[in-house]
Amino acid sequence: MKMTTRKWGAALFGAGTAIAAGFTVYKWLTGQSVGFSELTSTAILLGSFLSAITWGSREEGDGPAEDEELGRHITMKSAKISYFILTGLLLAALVVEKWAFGRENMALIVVTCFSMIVLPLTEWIVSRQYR
Amino acid sequence: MENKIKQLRKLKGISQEELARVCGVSRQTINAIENNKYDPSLKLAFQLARALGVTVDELFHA
Repeated sequence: MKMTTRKWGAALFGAGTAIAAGFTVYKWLTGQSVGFSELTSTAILLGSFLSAITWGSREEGDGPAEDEELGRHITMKSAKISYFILTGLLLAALVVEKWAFGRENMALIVVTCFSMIVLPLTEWIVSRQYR
Repeated sequence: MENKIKQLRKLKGISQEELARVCGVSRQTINAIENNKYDPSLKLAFQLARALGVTVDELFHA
């Protein structure tokens, strides 16, 4: 099996993600505090792994390239789906915060409201270019 | 939009990889267009038509 850049990237980021996630779980199980650095490093590595298994290169012919037509189509479709997932997660976080902990997180409320405005606002701004 | 890329490509005896190389895209792009997963840009439609020796009109139909 030929190891392309995509496969090397996937293997490296996959191993990195497993190590970071394992370390985070180990800290949590042993009662140590799990915070910003553990969670963000795991998320960044997982994001890089997913990116590595998605994109190939034209030269190596191992998948759609990010900068070609199909790549742009995939990116645009994924961006809108991601936006709705993210808005849904923010709303869920608001509900959990209110009903489970009985408090209102003003920063979370502001970000959730902004998430509801940002898509139509951006569409309006972009549509101005085509008047 | 329906297209005749697969039939014309097979008629000419060229693979998806070869057509992809001529048009400067990946094999997956050719495969996605052949299976009507997405409509190519006008630029790529012209490149495909030129590579297969037909007009865009002959290659695509609504």
